[in-house]
Amino acid sequence: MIEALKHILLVEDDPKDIELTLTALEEYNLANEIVVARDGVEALDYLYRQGKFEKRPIGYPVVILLDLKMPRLDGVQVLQQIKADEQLRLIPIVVLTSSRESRDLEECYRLGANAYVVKPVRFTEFIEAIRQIGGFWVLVNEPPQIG
Amino acid sequence: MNKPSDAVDAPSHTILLVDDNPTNLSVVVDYLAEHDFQIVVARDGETGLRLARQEQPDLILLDVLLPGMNGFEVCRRLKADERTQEIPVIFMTIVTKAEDKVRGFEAGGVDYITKPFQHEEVLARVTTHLCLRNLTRRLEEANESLERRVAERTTALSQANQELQAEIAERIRTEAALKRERSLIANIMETSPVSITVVNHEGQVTFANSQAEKVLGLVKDEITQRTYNAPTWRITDFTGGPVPDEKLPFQQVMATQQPVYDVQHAIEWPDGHRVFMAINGAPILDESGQVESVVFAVQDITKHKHAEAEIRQLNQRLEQRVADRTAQLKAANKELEAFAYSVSHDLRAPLRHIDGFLELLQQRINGSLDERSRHYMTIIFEAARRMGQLIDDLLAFSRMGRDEISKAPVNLGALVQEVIGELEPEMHGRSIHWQIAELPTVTGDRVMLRLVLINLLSNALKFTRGRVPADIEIGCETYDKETIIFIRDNGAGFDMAYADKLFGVFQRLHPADEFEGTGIGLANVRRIIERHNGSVWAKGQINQGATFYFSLPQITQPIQEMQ
Repeated sequence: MIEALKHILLVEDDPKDIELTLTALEEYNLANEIVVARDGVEALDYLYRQGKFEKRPIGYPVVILLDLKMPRLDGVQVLQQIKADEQLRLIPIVVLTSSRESRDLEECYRLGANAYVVKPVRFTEFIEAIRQIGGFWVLVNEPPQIG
Repeated sequence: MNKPSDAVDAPSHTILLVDDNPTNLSVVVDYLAEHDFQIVVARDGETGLRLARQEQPDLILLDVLLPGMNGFEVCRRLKADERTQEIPVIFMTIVTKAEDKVRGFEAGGVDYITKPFQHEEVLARVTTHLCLRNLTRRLEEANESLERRVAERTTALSQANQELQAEIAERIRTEAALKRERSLIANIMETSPVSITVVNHEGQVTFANSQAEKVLGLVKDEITQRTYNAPTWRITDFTGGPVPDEKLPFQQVMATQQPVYDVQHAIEWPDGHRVFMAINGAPILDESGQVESVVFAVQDITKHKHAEAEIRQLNQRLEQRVADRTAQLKAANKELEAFAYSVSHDLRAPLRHIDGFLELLQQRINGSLDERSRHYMTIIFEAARRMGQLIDDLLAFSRMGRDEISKAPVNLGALVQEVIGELEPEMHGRSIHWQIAELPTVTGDRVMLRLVLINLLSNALKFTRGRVPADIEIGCETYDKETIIFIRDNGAGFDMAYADKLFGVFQRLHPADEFEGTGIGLANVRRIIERHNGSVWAKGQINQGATFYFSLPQITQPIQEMQ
């Protein structure tokens, strides 16, 4: 089996947001190391190597960028499941959302989110936020050894 | 010799002898002296009269023939003088003429002794008259004493009579008072809305006022007319259940000899309808201290009970309605929250996309765009950003209405200083004259009140832009029930005609290109203050500055925790 390279799992249902995020990461040449899950179910399928990700290479992302509002399983539920799993809970999770609502923020931190970033409306600020996230979690931060 | 009778006996009697003839005198004096009489002698009438007055003799022997005033004259004078008129006078004379005797008796004499004296006769007559005199005296005395006793008795009787009269009058008065009292009681009984009954120790009703007859259906016994027929109802509890005997007010009073108050029962009529009663009962004791009968005052509280039940029901209904309404409001609030949540997520994303892809587009074609196209792109950018700002403000405003208020003492003075510090960047390069009064500690949500001050102070700074210096005054008026804080500036002011629009959501009174802002700030201020049970208002004039006021209910002590 091939082990996956250092990569980011982006859990996001909106293609436009996916495109903007990838565009932002391109500037850091990190776009190639992005795996996209289109909702919570896909995200868990990916992490557990099941469903359409059954055959993916072994290994875990160095960080999960998690949107909150998604069809089927939403971000909070995904967060809950990941943090309830002995192994998966070690993966850093950055909540990346449009919501500035304090109850979202509080709940995510309570469930164990490692960071909470509100997507800025202005693209220049958005790009800056994504670059910082990517730069920090992929290049600066030392990920845990899992499995 | 006859001894004089006991009437003439001791003490010895005094006899006045009036005679001018010494022979006569000595014969009579000697003889009478032998018989224990005291003898006083006078030789003429004048002396006789004087001695009679002085000596008060028991008897006078008076000679008819006297020198000067004769015997008859002396006798008349004696009888005319009340000091001597009672003394019996016996004339002594040798004359035996019948007319002399008549004259003697006319003059007031009682008897005659003729000379020469027969000793026995003298003694007999003297003794007889003395005896008569004594008897008369005794009779008089007896009479006097009798009269005195009659008088005394009369006095006593009349006194007794008076007392009796007084007593009778008193009794009449008492009886009248009693009558009045009885009539009063009878009137009270008959007009009382309370049923009053008296029940004797055997349980028979012996008295019922008209209300009792009416309400309790008591009817006077046809035969005795003194007791009442047993009522047809029975005593039950409020739900119609039986009441044990010992709980009945009659039994309670009989058993304890004590009054009972407000014992509540129902009485159930044969047709099944129930009337609710509040009963007071008091024992009437006989001389030996045993309960003779029991007085009851019974009040019909049926209406009362029904009203109570109705009120309870109304209350329950009201509570239900409040609960329903609260549930509705909660649901509405939840919906609003869901809406706000959705807005937060879904309205912002398209804006981000417009901005993002416009940016990307601009990067690709910027070089080939003409002036006008670049202007259009700028407008699109700005519109998207403004939309984003509006959404953020609206969400914040909605949060302000939904978030819980956590009340605690807030030192407004310290908070103002903190907020001014935070607004420092906006004051850069400006001349601002602050005038800040001592501010009290109030009760409220610190985070929210901070937002109020940020909004009002940044407004003051914003609308005094261009004033040199800008005057901003923060003051306070403390009243019993509220504290009023005001922020006054010498800025652009506003037209009072639109004062009511100031605090509306997205209301602006100035062109956006002159003073920036979304128009949510004062709406937030009002919402926060109203959630603190206070109020907000403003006064202003175009170009003459504005004053914004807000009041907070006074809960804690003012001006103590000052810096």
